[in-house]
Amino acid sequence: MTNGQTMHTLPGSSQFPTTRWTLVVAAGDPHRKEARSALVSLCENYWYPLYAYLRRRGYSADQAQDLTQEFFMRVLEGRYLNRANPEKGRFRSFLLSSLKFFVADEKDRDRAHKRGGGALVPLEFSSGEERYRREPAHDETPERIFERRWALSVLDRVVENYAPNFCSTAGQTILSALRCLSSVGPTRHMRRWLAK
Amino acid sequence: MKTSEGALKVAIHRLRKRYRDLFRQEIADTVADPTEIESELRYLAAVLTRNPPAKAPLVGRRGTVAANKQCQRQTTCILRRIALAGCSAPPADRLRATNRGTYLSIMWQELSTILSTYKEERGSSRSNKEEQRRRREEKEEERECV
Repeated sequence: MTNGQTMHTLPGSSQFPTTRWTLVVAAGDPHRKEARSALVSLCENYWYPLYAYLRRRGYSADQAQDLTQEFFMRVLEGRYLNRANPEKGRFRSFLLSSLKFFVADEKDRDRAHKRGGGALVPLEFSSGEERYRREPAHDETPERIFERRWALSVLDRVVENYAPNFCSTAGQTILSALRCLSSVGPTRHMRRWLAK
Repeated sequence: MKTSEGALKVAIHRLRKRYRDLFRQEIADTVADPTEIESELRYLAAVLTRNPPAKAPLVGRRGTVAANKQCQRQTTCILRRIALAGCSAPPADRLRATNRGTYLSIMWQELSTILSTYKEERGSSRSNKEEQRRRREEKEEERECV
């Protein structure tokens, strides 16, 4: 982020749009229209890693859904944004640390639950639970599951954003392969492939 | 579904060219400073390529059988389509592997092979003899698959 500016472009690409997380952090207030829209969009795109994290921590599907939704309601209220470091902030780190804080603070959760209200973020929990059930059985920590699912969510976003521009039969063949890969798990070949 | 080798190569070329840019673009949406994009990209790539857990997905483990079968069907279908395009040999023998990790590895190997093959072929023209042999093999594979 440049001094005094709330927007930036990537070096070497004049067409690169303002990033969503920059908008949110720079605004500091999620009630502002642009910041709220950006934050909702980010939450919609990256809710599943949080849900998988909660499930891995032992919460049932219903509990994890409630906690995820309540957590995003708190985020949209601006509850944790003052803890985000605008110079070094990453949305990934912000979400996970805030969620840990949220889960640990039972009193805060109870107060919020009694108060009710708040804006719901439209999240497809049914597909999320189905996806979680397909997760391989293993002994990974919740944090590592969160990281892995986050990385795969980024890949999902790339594939889905790219799909409309790649409508030939050959393109769809490759996209099918990428969708398959990004939906079920990582591989050791990915780093080399991305690095090419 | 059949696609020509040329079309597939063009598609891969375009994909390869755009994929990293789009990956960066998506990452940029989640960081507060452009200088963090590269480090975040490296971090996510490391996460994705991290060794799978010791008890990683096995056929027969509760809750994973259906996923494995689905993955097997998808993988077989996609690899067949890639093979039909004549870009690599059909890995029919390797498809006998029984776990999801193996299938995914095969998928990436195939994609990597296609990309490297394309890169090599771009720099050197193929002889007519090789071309005829490749077409003959392609037709044979196509008949087998059909």
